[in-house]
Amino acid sequence: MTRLLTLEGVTLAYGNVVVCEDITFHVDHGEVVTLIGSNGAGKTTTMSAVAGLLPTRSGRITFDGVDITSMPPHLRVRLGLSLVPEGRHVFPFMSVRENLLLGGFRFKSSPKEAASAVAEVLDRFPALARRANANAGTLSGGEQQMLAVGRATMSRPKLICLDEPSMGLGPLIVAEIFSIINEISAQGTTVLFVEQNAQYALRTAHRGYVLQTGRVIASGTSEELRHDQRVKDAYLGKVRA
Amino acid sequence: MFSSLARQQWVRSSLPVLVAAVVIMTAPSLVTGSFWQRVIILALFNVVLAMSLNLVIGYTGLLALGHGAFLGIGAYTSAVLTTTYEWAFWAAFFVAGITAAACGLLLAVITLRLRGHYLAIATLGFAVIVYQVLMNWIDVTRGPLGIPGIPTPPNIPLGNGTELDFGLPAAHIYLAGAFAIVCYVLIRRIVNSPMGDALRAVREDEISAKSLGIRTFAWKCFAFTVAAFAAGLTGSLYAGYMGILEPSAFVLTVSFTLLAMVIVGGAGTLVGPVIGALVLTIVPEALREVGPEYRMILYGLALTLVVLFFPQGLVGIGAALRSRFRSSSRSKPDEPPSDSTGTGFAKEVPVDAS
Repeated sequence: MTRLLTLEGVTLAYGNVVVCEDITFHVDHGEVVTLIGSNGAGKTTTMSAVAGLLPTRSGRITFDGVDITSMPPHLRVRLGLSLVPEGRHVFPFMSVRENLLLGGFRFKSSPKEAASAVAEVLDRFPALARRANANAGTLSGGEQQMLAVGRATMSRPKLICLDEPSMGLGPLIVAEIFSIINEISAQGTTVLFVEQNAQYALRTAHRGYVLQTGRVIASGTSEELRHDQRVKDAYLGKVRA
Repeated sequence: MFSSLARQQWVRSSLPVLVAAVVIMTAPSLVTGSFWQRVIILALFNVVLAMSLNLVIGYTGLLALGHGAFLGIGAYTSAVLTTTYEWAFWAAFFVAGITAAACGLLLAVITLRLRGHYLAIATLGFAVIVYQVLMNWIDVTRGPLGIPGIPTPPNIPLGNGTELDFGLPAAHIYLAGAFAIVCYVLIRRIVNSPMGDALRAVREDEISAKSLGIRTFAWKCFAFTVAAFAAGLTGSLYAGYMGILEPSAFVLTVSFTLLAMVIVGGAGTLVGPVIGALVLTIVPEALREVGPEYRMILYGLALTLVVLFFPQGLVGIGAALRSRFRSSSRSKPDEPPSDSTGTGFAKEVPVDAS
């Protein structure tokens, strides 16, 4: 397998406050990788740096063989890196269809191709298809999250980064979101996602990294992490049979 | 089917332009009093100013308060070039636009890292600075004395031997009207293209826009620069019409009045600012009949009431009634929402937990 995304010794800070220090991890082509950790561990900060929304203080980020450490976000999108930001960021006063079209903003295509890409996403998410012309702000939380994910696939990325896709959603919807992640992965897109819900995360991902106060404290396959005592104590609570 | 749809679209897009053209062509013969002809010209200038400000406030969602400053920069650039340097009017016209656009871009680059109230204050500061420069850079602007004797645009020959004579107000109505229509068409092109989508994306959710590869900062600068360019061109026409400029024509109140035109008309819609500019220019003049002491009180009251009861502006009245009618008749529930209405500035984000 070849490396798609690597972070080497990345340090991130807001002003003088260092939030993440010496973060090193990688995602290979075709993998589903998760970053787990509690509130304030630096998960969202790390994702922002991967997408280019936050400048990297030191260290190196490479994507698909290209050094993207100081590359602006729109060029990263062009390379095939797509982020679903935390907290269901949709364009509330635009229709579902318009939201999807904007997802393909960088995807240089004819109107016909764009329309077929929209149709493809609506096909995958029947709940969205039913409300294709409704304003995105009127959708339920789960539908908005699906829209955000569907929109991110519009640019046909190599890597989709999802920042806490389960945040604030009910258990049934969370299960649906994770099955969507599996589906995206099955279609050949590499996935990196951040999660607080370690149970779900380690069931979906192939591998994971555990973040604590801005550092990677453990890593391994999902199976290994599920049995790691530190992870159990900190994130999984009592393991149910 | 498709051709009839295309024809329908053509009618929808051309009709407002044709109506406006006819109204402007007939206006000088219908309105003969010099006072009201003057009101019409100023209203047309305000239409362009409000439309361009709407690109920044309504479509891109940036609360910028210094639009009057770009009008002033354009007007003074044009006035100084045509008087002191004796430039031809049309050359000065374009340089006025470019100067204002350059100032707009500069202001954008400096202030657009700010947002919301902070951006409002910073742009307000810019308007204060411009006013002070006009007031105190005596060598160039003559300060409070103003610049008199600004030449009108050169007469335009009309083919049949007559000329469009800019000594007469009618010619200024035609010119301002044509300019407003051109600006309307160009702004509509921007708004209905992928550029408009990018601007709206910035307004609706900057983080999403960025993560989708939209260069939010560049688009904000674009909106600012285009708006300043239009305001600068308007300033040049204004100077050519007035013949004399004083700094007092570009006080802060101008910027606030333009903001009110956008909001009262309907921010983020195409026709909203046009209606807002016409109403807010003409109504205060009509209220002169009521008496000077009540005039501004009534005007202020009207502004308050509109914002209270029609937060989406005057264009929202029609849309609200139409949607009520539609929901009672329930004929086409899945009709796509028209973009020209309903993306107002002062809307609440519906919160919907699953």
